[in-house]
Amino acid sequence: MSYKQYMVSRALVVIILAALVAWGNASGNILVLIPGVIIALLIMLTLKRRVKEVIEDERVWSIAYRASRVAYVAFTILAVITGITLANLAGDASDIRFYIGLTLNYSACALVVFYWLAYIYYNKKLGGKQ
Amino acid sequence: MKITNFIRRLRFDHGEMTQEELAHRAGCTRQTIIALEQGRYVPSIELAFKIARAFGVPLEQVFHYEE
Repeated sequence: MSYKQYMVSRALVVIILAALVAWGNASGNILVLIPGVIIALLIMLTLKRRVKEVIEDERVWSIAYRASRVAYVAFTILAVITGITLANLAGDASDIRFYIGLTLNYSACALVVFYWLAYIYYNKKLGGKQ
Repeated sequence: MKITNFIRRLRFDHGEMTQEELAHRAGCTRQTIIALEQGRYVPSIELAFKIARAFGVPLEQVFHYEE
């Protein structure tokens, strides 16, 4: 499969998935979305493997690594600041802003924990000492 | 400290080898070859060896480390 064929096939999968998500939301069949997304991801992975040309290399991975890092730091800082601000702006626990703030803060905490776990895993895998 | 390379010159010396062909031989994308030639990207040791092998020359003839 050529790169062009891969791009066209991927676009088709995305369009079908978007239509499925729209239909699922409109009809209330949310459970259909889970296998739909999984199947779409599997199809995309299969398509990617069939491409004979090199479509990504170490430079692309390096860019992805840096972009992930920036996104991680930016989200964590913004979520913490916004979360604390919203939680403080809320008068009491019945205010929706309190729960939004709490959710954002817990999301930031979860992200930091996932990062920490992934860091430990890769540090061990790549031979670093604890 | 900077790592420079002579990829552009080596391509010229090898019968104007295209960036596409070099990328194919080294197993990377053409965009990576462009970035390397413009000095905007420093490759891994593995890719550096692959590029040197694609030209059939030692690593030192492709990349140069300036202190």
